Amino acid sequence: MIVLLLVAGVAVLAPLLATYPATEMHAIDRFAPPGTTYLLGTDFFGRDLFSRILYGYRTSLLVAVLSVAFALVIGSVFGVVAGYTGGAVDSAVMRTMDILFAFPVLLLAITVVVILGAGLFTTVLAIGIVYVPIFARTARGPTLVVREHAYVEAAKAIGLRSFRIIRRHILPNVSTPIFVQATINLATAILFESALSFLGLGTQPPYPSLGLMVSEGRNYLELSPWPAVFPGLAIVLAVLGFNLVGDALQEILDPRLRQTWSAA
Amino acid sequence: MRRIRVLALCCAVLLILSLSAVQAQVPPPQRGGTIRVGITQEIINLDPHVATAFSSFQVMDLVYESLLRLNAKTLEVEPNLATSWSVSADGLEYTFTLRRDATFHDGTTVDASDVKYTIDRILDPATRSPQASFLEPVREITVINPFSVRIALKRPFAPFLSLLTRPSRGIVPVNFEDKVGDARVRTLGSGPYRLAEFGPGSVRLTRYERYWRRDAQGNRLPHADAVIYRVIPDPATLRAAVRAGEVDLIIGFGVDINAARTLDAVPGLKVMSVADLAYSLLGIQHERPPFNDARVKQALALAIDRAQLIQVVYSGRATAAGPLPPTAAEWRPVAASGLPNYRRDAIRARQLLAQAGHPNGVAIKMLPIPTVPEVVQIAQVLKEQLAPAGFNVEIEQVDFATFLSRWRGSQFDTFVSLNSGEIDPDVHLYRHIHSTGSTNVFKFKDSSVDQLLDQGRGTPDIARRQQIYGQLQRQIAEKVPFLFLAYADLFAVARANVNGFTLSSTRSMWPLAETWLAR
Amino acid sequence: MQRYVAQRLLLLIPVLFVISVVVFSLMHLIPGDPAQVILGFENTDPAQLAAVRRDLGLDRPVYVQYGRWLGRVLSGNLGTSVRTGRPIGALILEALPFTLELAIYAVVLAILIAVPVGTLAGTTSSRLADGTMQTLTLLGLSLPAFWVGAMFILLFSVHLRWFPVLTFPALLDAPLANLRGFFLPALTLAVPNAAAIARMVRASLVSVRREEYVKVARAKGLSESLVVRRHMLKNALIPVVTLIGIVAGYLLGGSIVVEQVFAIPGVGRMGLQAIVQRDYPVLQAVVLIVTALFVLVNLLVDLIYVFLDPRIRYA
Repeated sequence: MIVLLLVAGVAVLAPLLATYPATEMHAIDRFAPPGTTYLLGTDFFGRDLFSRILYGYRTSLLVAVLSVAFALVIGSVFGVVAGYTGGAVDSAVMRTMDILFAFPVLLLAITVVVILGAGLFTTVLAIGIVYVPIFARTARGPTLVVREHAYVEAAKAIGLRSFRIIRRHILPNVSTPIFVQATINLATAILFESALSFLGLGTQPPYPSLGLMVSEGRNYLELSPWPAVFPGLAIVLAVLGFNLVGDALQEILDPRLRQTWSAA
Repeated sequence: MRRIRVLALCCAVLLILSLSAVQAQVPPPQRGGTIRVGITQEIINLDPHVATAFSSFQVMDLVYESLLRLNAKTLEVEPNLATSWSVSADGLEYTFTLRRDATFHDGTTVDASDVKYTIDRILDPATRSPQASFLEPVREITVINPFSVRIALKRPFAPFLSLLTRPSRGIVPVNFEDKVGDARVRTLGSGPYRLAEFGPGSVRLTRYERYWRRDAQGNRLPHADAVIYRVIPDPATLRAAVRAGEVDLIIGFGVDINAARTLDAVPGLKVMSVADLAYSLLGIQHERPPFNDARVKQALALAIDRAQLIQVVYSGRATAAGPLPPTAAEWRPVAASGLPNYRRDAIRARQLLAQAGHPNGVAIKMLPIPTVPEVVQIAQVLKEQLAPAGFNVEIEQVDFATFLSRWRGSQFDTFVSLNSGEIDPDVHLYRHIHSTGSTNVFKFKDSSVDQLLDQGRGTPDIARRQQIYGQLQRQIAEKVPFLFLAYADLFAVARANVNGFTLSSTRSMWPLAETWLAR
Repeated sequence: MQRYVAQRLLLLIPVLFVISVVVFSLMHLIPGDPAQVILGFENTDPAQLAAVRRDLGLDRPVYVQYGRWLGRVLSGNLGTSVRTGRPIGALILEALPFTLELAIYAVVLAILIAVPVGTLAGTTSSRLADGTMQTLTLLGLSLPAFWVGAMFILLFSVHLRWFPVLTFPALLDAPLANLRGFFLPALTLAVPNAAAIARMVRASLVSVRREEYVKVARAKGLSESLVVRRHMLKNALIPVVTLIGIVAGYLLGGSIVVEQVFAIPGVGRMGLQAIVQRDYPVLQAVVLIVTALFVLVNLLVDLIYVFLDPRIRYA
């Protein structure tokens, strides 16, 4: 939790903390090693890595959170409704999800980006759409199981309304895998964004995102490892944060786990 | 005095000895083996007259031959399928004598009717050949006898010979399409190699045993049994593949100065380099605001610092140059320092922008071509450089097909790209900046530039042409049809056992026919 | 059960139909024009552009184009690539083996890594062991594939020379060389998926562990390993199987990034090229084939549910 707060804080406060403008080039200080002038060194263009990572967090977190939120809400609704209702609705929804899902993911995202033009909003939408069916499937699996449980049958038998059953009995059971899935996807969204940037269709240079920085830096590993290593570490840190929070959420939402399982 | 003479004599002897030692060290070429070349772009189409992708030509350089070719080192026009040629006094008729020992891969002799068929095929609109615009001056082709052909032009056209030097004007046999089937995937040329396999992500060529050319020692070419092109889209993997010994040669795209430096330090690899004919450019659209105002164009030119650009993007391994490539020394290219608007002056740029009605600067979009890695870097440096002069640049990355359609439709403020240069100044410039030029997507129109270009192509006299292009270079620098940025150095990396390959400014692959592998 | 399978297979037809319509519409929303891509930078003659568009049938209304395409496909002909002129059926047959093998190899590697790791993390009482696993899996999840792939190549191919970079012989011709050649790309694909699956195994086990029947089993005095194997794993596997299905689906689509990095001419790269080159019929074919495979994998996953949990019935 603290890690994520730190990461989020860094992202929000980037303009205050940054020691240089993120896109400012210092032609004579290209590939500078970490030191007092440039905390984490500089990249190909002599841009300060520390400042770029701070701003990179902003872009990457924004993209990850927005796209996963989009997918989680829409996907879970589809999944739970399909799993709970069953029958024709289940078939219709899940086949639609299959169609969406069956598209090779990156191709789908690329197509969306190519149609709408690269940009932050497009990236969020492209990643979000790709993740919708994942959440639908993840939500549907446990819903199918819970639906058959005695207590759900009982609730149905005493005439509880579906909405209430879903909220009281299904959601708590579905939320564990959903949130595990969300923490995974928050992390993969950062990587997804980096893959799009790698193909030139994500964050638009010179503005930084963590993935874009890794993919730019990777080309010059033999000359200077820092431009690839530090943004890479930054991604690991963010992913760690997401997952720790995921574990914490899991505890809160699943009280049976509270006593024995704390964040690793 | 005498002592000096003795010393000089000793030196001379030593020199001769060392020279002969060097000579003795060059081993004779070894026959056999497979040369594996790594390239970054997909090989799409092998029809010499229809293909557009650079990777296609890397293959076709070895499969098809044109009448003439450019010497890989000197870039001079030299005989190929034609052994000699003559030009009529009025510059309207070119007569070529063909060699008698050249055969197509099906064994038939290359003769004058094939030459006529080839040029007719290129000019036929049904072929949809991108080369047609280059051969537009051709009026008619006459077969004089099986080994002599005359090409008549509509008007004198000084660069004509240089147009016959590329595989894109490669000679194909009469009824080519009937013989070969689909020419996009099958080939029938007269080059040193023939197509053996066109697989996913790779092309394999095998030696054409009856190829006519011999090397300087009289050995039959080509030396290697086969050449394989492997498509390796990721530059980092391309470099790893040559280090791991899984390809023998990588060239051009994906091999920038940084890669060259890194790989130069690796034992077992050698780095070659030569000044590239291709140049990076910043294109501008002249009919759309803000560049419909001459002052804004000039401001843009003054805002650019080429020296810094070269330092950052090419680590200094490039030449800031004007409209003519430094490699084409014959045409007396003017160095950047001698041209107007080539020295950075951000203050003056701001003033000009203010005069043009943009006292608070102006926002422009910049479209980098996605297929050339350095171009995105250039765009980022330009954005930084242009900001203090009042240009607020937004870089807009699009995919290749979108770029192409926006380029073609002149839907851009500015774009950054890489143009393949040409050894003849007319071919180099005319199509881009003449108001009727086929690739004048800039919508640049200037009557005095048009006039000079027309004179340049219609004047056969070399001294007179030099004068014209001297004037033209200055005019281009003043009028800014687009901005010539840099002619970078071209790099290739080969395994140490690769011998005899000449890296040419034209990026031609035909020197592979003379390349051999030491075992 | 058989009826269910037959039903699902029949459903494939409308699914493929809808997908083909979607792809067709998407392709016409994309800016850029295949005719222009064919003509490239040199041929800018508008008459030629119009002529090429006519050659390709692009001058017709979209629904006519679709109708023609559909008619051809229904007669078993996927058409030819607009860009290369090669028959698409042959192109797919060339590319598909690369992608299929890569996908299967990667899923196998991922399961081999993930199930033991996840089980250990989910059942151990040592917080240190659990924490270590958690951290390792997080690391696996946080590395971009293009970075991991490049590192693998640098380390295992360039420096250690354990694995080749570009050697992908056919499986039947040279099985060992084949498995060796595909190992690094498969591992690159497996790493993040193994991490994701391991986390899912752990999370499921942790929640199953508190279920009544597990407590009962333990109370009965069954050995811990038997409890894990017989009672916990089987029940914990449902979400895990879902995830593996998802992963397999992903991988069948061809991993564009891994195919790019390892220079594998598979379906993913073919699809990417088709988009970039605006090669509509190729993209159609790629998406349809991948979809069909995907639907089959999903059917398989649903059938595995039945096997794992008899309470789920398909009628």
